Amino acid sequence: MAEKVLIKGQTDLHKSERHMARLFIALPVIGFCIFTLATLVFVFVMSLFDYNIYRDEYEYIGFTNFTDLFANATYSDAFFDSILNTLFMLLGVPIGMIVGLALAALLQAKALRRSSKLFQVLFYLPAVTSAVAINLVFKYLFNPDYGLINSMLNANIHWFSDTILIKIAIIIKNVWAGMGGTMILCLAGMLAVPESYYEAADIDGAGSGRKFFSITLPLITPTLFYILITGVIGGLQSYADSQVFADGNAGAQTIVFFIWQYGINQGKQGLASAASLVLAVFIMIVTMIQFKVSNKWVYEA
Amino acid sequence: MNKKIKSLISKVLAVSVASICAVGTFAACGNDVDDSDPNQLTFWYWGSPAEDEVYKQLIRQYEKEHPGVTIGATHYDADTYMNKFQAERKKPDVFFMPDTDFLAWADAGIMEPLDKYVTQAEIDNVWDKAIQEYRYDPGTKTLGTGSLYGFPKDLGPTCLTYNITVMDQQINANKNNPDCTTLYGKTKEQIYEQYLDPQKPMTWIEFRTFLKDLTKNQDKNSNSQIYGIAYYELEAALYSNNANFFEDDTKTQKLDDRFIEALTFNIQLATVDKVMPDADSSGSTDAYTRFFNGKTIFTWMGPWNNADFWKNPKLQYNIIPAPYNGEHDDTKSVAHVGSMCYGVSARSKRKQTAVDFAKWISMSESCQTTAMNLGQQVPNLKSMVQDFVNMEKQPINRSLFVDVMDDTNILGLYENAEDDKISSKTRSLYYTYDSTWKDNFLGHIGKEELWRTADAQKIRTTVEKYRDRMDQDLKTAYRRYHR
Repeated sequence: MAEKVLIKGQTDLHKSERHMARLFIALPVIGFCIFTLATLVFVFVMSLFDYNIYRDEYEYIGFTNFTDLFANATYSDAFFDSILNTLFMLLGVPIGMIVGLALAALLQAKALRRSSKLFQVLFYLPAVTSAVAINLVFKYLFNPDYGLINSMLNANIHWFSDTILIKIAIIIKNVWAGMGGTMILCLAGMLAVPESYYEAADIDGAGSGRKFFSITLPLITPTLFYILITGVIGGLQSYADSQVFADGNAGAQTIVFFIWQYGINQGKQGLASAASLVLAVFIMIVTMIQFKVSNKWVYEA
Repeated sequence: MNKKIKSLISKVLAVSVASICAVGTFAACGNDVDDSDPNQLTFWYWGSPAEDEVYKQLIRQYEKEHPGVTIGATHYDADTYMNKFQAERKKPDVFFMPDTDFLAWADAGIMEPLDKYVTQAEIDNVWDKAIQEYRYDPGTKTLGTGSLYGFPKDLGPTCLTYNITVMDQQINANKNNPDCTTLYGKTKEQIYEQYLDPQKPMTWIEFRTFLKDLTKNQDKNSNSQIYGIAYYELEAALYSNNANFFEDDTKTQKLDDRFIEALTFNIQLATVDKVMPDADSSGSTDAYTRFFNGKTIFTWMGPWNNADFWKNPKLQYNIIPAPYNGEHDDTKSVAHVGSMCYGVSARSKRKQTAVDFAKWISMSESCQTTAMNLGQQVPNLKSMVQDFVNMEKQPINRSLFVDVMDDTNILGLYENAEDDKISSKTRSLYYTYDSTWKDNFLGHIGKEELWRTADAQKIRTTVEKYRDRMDQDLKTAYRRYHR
């Protein structure tokens, strides 16, 4: 009898725990359904219509928005340019990873370990600074008339009017802004590497370079993979670079800027929805490829 | 315990949902105006901080003159105003509508036709161009005819303004240089009379030579040099060469020789004459910052800039008309006019009150006097033109603002109206349904780096190659308009 009561009590407890669990899960699930799934469906439906924001009229046009994006020069030129600009600016992701990794390795070096905490804070500062503030500050730094960079180089470099240089300026800015976050993640990865591996390497007479490339680097590849995935996705979604830093300069218009320009600024929400879907699919494909390729370079214990 | 937790979670959820609903409701409200009260209006406008102050003062004045009426005014900055307006489903009762967006919104039926609210006498007292600009016939889809869809906020004639202190300084610095043919051997008064006459616009050649002479002592490779002009308005160059982006029907491109001449003149001010910042520098420093800091002699201004200019007591400035291409017989000084109107929402539940306010702010002597005194505009009322001209304020050549917007010789500045070689034309975006064609064109010449080339042939080839593309862009714009 006592056993039965206990079982009943446990069952009730499990039931109520399950209910509680469902309640806790409910909020993010509802959030996902409303803000992601429903939005995705809505965007797909919108992409099949020409929504005239002035007249508040919807007209079904099938896949015309998609053909406009890829085949109508009025839109496709700007769309392809925005894709190329975005891809070019993605160069900042690997460069940022190398810089962040180098910083983390430096801070792990014995000579710097004492002051490591101070440098960690200093290098991490950009990561907690507003993206808009960083863009504005760098805009002044690159200003051809009175910017610090041209003054330091004692040169008159056309950072903003040259379509390549403006992208390089953005890459430099993004590397600086992202290196702190990358460094902290790499540092965390490095601290998780068991000390015994290094001791064994010391016994074998390995130098610091060998230890880094043969032990540290392979073991933190999961961290690097995470940084790469989030960096690429973030890079593909970049907007502030075009809007705040480049003031809409054609040489620095990203895909998201294209979506904003046509969806918000020019009232062509159907076209912008089609571009958003293309971007979503593109991000999915790129991420899948990265996962596929990761088998070949990411260490899994 | 379980019940307590459940109850707590239920309460948290209930409060969250209620908060979300409440936030949604407040967001939908926009501002504190009671929808059912016919005497409470919503009004959206934009402008610089100085213009914002002007409007706050005008609204206070209206509420004082019309006891019982309350204006719930919302100020946005110019960059975001139209985005907010597009996104707002419940349009404000009264709102700014720029000329560049007028066609699309008038065509959409968002704006109330206003003819029945005004008398012919009232219309006749407003500048003809301003009234014409806000007429539209949705049946034939024609601008300039049909119903009146907006009361003009202003007609903004643009002129070249010069910083008198910097002008004098540069004249003194270069007048003894025999290479400076426009300055050498002349007194300051002679130079002013020859080149800075408000009724005798300079030709492009005169303008280029004058600017080159004025900046002869400057190091053209230095970033801190004083420039002749901060930037050049492409439309002022096009219109003053009898050129345009498109034919009169606005459906076919007109990137002809005249267009190329105007674009070349514009670009070469920077790349050949080096009297204007190149594309890089002009984009990096605001023209007015340069002007206020004495780093450029000329820039462009409209009457609305006076509000800001007057706040700088050290600034001495004056205006001259846009230069024109003297190489052709059919050209004259034609500046672009920037303009806006006050629209009234066709869905407003208090239309009469809204129209009364829009009409007051556009056409009442009381409001126009305040706006004029605060440096906001040339009064919309022709009957007040002498009050404007007689104001003891800068710029001294203030009658030029009137001359630019009026083609009837209302001030009697010329013996015959035909002698008036100074005029104005609405901005090109006013005539088309969307702006993609222009964004694409400017983006293209930016990509081809035309703003940095001194090579006239490259400019010509690039523009000629772009003709088909411009036709296609205009066609795409009209696809939506006629759908």
